[in-house]
Amino acid sequence: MSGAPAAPYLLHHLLERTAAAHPSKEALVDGERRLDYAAFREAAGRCAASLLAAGLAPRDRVAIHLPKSAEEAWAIFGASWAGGVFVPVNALLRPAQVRHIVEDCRVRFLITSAQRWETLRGEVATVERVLLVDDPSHWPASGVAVAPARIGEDLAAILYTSGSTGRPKGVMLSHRNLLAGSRIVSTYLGIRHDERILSVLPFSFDYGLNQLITATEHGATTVMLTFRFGEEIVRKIDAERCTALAGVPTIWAVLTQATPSFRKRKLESLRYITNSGGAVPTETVRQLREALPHVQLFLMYGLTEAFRSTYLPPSELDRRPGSMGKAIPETEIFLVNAQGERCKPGEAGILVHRGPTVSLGYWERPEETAAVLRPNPLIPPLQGADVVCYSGDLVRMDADGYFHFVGRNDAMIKSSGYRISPSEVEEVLMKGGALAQVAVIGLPDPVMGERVHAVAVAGAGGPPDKAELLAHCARELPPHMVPRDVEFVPELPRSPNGKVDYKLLKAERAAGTVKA
Amino acid sequence: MSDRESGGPRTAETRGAIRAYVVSRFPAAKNLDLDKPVSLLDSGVIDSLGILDIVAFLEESFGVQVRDEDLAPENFDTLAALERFVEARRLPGGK
Repeated sequence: MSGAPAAPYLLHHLLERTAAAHPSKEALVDGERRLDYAAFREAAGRCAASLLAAGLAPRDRVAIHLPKSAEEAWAIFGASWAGGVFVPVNALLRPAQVRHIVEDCRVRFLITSAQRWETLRGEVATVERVLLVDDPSHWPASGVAVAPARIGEDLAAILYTSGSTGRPKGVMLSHRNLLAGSRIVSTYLGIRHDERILSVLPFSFDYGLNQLITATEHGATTVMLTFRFGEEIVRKIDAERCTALAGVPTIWAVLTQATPSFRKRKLESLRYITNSGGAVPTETVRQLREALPHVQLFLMYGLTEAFRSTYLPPSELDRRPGSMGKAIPETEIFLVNAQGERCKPGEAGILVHRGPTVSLGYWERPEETAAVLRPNPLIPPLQGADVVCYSGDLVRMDADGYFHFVGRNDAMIKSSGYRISPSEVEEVLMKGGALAQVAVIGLPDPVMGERVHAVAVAGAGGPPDKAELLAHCARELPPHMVPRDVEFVPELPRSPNGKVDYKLLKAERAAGTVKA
Repeated sequence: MSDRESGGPRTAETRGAIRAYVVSRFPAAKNLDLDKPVSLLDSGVIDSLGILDIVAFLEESFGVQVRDEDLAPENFDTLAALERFVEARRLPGGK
């Protein structure tokens, strides 16, 4: 191994540097298994060697489809080390969604387990080489000798996320993006070497991935957990003396409403908790602070295309309830109105992000990229205008520069921290047969943020069996995308230009005019 | 199946009610062979949020109280486990 440069600029440099400085420090805790940084580096190096031996060329995509595990962590760093582009694929996805990702960015290598490969085998014919983490013959005895030369601007990862229409799109992140995200978050959270970070969010989600990267940068410990009961989170925090927990609103709902021990146990080891992926209801914030008076709560906002935009410092929680906070370090956040001008305080506009975490756009989607990544509207083109990210979220700013979420400008649904495209769910519902038309919307939900709701027009044969239709969806879609209910209506409302009026469908049900 | 497992009329009623609820609240359950001891948790039919709804259902429909220590996979993993849990709680002294 060549050793990391003094100033790391590639993702795996962080691992090399920490492993050189603190080889016996605990890096990964995965159930009963514990890897120190020397072992983590060793495993990532073997992964890189295996990929290179299999013919990986720089920029080749390496999909990683595994449950949260030590293997998933070393595969991410191993792919980076080999000069490849890692594509973490959420473990909950069904074969059809995995196939979409694999085909969309032309994945050459797939790292998965023998069990998962059994269900995928027939679906992902385009993958050239499959490496099974549980087959020792797929991994060499020693690590990579010489890694290919890469620079910070090179593509490091593609994270798939949904928009308001169509199939998920791959957000391209450079090594520089990933390192900036780690540095910025470490700064405002004050992440230290002795942190023990509980990781329950998938690494396919930028928020979950960032936890692993910040821990690696600082020589902290990532404690991995796939949970089904809130009790398991509480027990893990106590048993592993975790200092940090990152969650989405659903997790806080589970802890405050379905986990009696959460209020009884003091969880003294916890130093901070963070939320992103949707707003936490004010009442839940109150309960969290009551249960954990010694813990700092950071409310944050971001989108995969620019990773993270704002955070609310814990000291501002009482003064600005419901606020999304202010810009993260090294970043400018401003709002623009319909005329493309900077909004005045109090005026609602689209949130625009400029800074080092603005992504490289969507993989092979020039039009969608051009809509989101645009030249800075406030700086003349020849005077150093940079590329900024238009979030599509409607936001207003108060007189002190703190932001408040107003709404979403399109039909995208946000549920349990996931972005869901209505059209992807509609496509599956239509395939279920017996529907003339369907529109999928997000309705306000105290636990999930929004819950997926389908409004359908029955076909000629009359309304199909609802349970059968939803069971069909459950076979074709991961749990977070399955509608909670299907409602039958005689026809769908249309806007003047003939399109289905999603805003009206949503507004009528949210206001109770139509009972969903 | 032994006499004890097949239970009395009340057991059959409990079983039917739990099954009907699970199938209506979690449509994915229809994709499983519920006559077999198939895991509702490992198959992803019931997630951490679904547990919330099941607890409310058990408390409302059967008048049982779900305690902290009851919130564990062994009580929620299968239809039979849910049924056993309800029956145990309904026994004299079970609450």
